[in-house]
Amino acid sequence: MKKKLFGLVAMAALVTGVSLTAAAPAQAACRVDNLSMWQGKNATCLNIVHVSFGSSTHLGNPARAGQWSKQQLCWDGATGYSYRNA
Amino acid sequence: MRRLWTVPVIAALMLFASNGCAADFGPSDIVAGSAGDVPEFTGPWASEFADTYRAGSDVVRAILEDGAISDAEWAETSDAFIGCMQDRGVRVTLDDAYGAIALPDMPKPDAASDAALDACTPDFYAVSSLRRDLARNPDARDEDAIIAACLVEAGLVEPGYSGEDLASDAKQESLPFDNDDPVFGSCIRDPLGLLE
Repeated sequence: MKKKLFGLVAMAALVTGVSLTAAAPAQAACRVDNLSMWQGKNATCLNIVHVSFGSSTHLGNPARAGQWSKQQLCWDGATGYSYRNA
Repeated sequence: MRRLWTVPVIAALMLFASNGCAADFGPSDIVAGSAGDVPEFTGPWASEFADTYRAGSDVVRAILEDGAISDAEWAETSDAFIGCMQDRGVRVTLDDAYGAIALPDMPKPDAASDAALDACTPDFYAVSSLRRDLARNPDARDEDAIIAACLVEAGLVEPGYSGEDLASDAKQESLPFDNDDPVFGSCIRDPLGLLE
């Protein structure tokens, strides 16, 4: 079956010229609302985790679209935050 | 121009023919072929189980196939993740039992830790996401509604503040309280008071 699937995927790629590694539409429109030091709401991404860093790096719970990714703890010395796709 | 267009099509047809599969599969086979047969999951999180199963590795599928994640399976998943990171030179600890983690030696993420996370988190996050969903919101109630109800209960917002209000305020970056208020954090983490 893997061979069959490869055949179909290869044909789709050849015919359309679309890169198979291109980001999915949901990722292209990826948006995180209310991103702050300790949390952010995944508005449109497939999955995200909230990242806080300072003396160490912490990654919050993975969150699907519509969910919040939050750090388990607040701690002294945090200096920045971001998020990453999970 | 016409020749340019026909080359990939002919190549594709040849590839098809060499696989001997031009006539015996359609869209439904693509799903089955990419993930095998997906078990019939039941319950409020069934579609998330199915999606995760479909996209998951053999390890993830073996864990999810009975529709539950046991403590032993979670322990194995966590240990495998920690070991995978260690093999790549990145020390990691668990911040909770639902997928939050720390990199104690990393003041900031760098290319090496990003690469290690990319390699090691897929199975870990697939399992921890579902484990968190099941424990935190077992009936899959509306995410914004349960957080808003928690905020009202805690007195951070006035009675009547709804899930729609929270969703709208979050989208407009205009929450009626401090983004980093610990009460808000508690309501996000465990709105129904069910976690360990």
